[in-house]
Amino acid sequence: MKTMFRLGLTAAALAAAATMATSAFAAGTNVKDCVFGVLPKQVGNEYWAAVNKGAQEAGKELGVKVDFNGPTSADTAGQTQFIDSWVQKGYCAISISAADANAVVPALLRAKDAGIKVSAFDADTDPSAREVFLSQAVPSGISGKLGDLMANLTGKKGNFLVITSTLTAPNQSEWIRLLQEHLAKNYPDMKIAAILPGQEDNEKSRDVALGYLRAHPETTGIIAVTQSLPGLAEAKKQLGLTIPLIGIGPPSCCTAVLKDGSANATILWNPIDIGYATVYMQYAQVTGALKLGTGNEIDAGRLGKLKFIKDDTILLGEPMVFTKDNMGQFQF
Amino acid sequence: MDRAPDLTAPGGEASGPLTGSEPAFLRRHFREAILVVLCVVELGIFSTLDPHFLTLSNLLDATRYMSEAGLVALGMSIVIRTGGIDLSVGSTLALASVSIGLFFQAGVPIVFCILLGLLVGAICGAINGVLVAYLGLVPITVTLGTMALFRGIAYALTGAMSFSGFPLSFARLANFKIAGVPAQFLFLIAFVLIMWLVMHRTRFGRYVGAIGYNVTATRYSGVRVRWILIATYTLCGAISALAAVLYTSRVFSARADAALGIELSAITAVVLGGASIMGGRGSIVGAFIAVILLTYLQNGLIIAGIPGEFQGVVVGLFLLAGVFFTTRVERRYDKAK
Repeated sequence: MKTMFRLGLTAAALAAAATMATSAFAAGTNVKDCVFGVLPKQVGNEYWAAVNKGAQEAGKELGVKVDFNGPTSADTAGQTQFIDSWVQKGYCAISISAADANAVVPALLRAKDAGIKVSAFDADTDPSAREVFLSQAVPSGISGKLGDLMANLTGKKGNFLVITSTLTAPNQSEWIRLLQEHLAKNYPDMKIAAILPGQEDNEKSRDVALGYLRAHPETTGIIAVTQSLPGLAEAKKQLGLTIPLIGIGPPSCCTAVLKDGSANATILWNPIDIGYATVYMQYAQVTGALKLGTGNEIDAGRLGKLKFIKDDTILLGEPMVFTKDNMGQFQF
Repeated sequence: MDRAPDLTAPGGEASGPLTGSEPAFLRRHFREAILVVLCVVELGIFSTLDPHFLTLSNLLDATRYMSEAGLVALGMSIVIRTGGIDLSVGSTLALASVSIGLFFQAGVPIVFCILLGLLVGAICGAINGVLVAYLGLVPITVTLGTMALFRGIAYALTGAMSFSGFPLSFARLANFKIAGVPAQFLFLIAFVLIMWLVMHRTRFGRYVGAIGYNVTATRYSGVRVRWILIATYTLCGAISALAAVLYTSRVFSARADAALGIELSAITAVVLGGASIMGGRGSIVGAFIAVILLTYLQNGLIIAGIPGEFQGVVVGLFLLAGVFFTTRVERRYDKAK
């Protein structure tokens, strides 16, 4: 009884004696003392590793510390714990690529209330929860490129399978919607026959594709709005199909399948650049240099000036097409 | 079971004699005491890694994440006490969450949506209970199946989209504080107390433990084992649905991929808290302390800036060390007879 009581008392004393650190970010804090939090959808794949590289590069140039961390699974609610912890640590700015646009809203609003500059990059949240969004490419630019690429590869007609990540992922859903519009307008003989979630995982993508392609051998081509091309190429190989396969991803995700031709191309913005630009955007937020409004600009170091394409959205640039012919030039 | 069941001990555990000089309270609650020590050690370690960890603000804020896993662990501990297990708790949570969303979308007032969600959870639990009690199927197999079934239904009902049109008042449920303490944590504490009373001060609780110790003897004693089992699993399902209400409010959306993997966290907490997988033994308070331990572990790792990729390694090692340490110390004392 005595020991138990003593233990309990010690624990309580520890907690109570702890400094009552306030989590509010005091305005006027020197930006050099700041830590910027960059919260990806998940950590542990090459795309996000490249984003981190760019973010750290920008952090070094600007003289701020960048904490790049996130959940290891595409757990849509796992990001909230990072936001809450970073609020505790008094980070100056938090930028998130949201696995789900709504799940993180309460946590982000708490961050906003604590005086932290909130922004989104790559995948947007509900606009009420963030001040500004860095869009890697105009979504219609991506879907347009995807549509045009596939049209050229297939003679502009057929039934296509679209593989996405999760059905709630905001940027993928937006690309698919715009792709359908683009096809309806320009290539009316091209139809999207099915949209299946591969959860950005090669094995899962392969399995859903196998299941679908077995039942629909007449499928003309596969468009992935993720980078799971190795898994999808595997599905093609197992069924002995030679239909075109394109996706969205860095060349490093799919070197083997791009080289041997089982995947035709991937398109992407440069993920290093988006990490880099995100930190510059946060810097502009914290120093007050960021002014919302279409046509305004922020300084983004080696990327030059980035423009606001909407009152609260900044554009990174044009998407690139990576094929076996040009992928050697890129390390990511 | 080679130990005479001591069903009168508040911890429900058979008391093994220690060296004899410890006070009776410590002897009976040895496992819980070790866990509290581990907690203090953990807080100490993390406080050295980053000053922001051991602040009242952070410690209180982190309790926000204890309630869902804590509730599920409580429900799980009752089931494990009977010698069974329920792997479908996460899926029940997801289905309950989705149900709340769908009912609200259909125009049902939010309060009734919550009640209906609890009903859905109870039904899921009852299905498990009937399969285990009447068909005599092994709980791990049954709940493995219902784990896939319930979440599958959730995905099918929503087409894997999440629903987020709830009123702001619903978000307040899991996002407001009383005297600086997140409301969900206070709710969890209240629930722990209620559960403790149920398990240690009611006949039902007594029977649950008895079934875990020796189901045959219990049945021959005239206890309606089947009904108790069904009630146990139903309760577990309803508690998971309660966790679903908190989860849905916290993330402000009803989703089929809710709480993926929470069943493992719950089992971890229950086992760390002193339950025997074979049943009959288990501490509500122990599971609660284990949930606190595990939640601060995760929180501490994030505050310390440990990359997400390494968190799994640390959690796994910690769990192994925790189970090893607590079991060894207990055994050493048990040997001193």
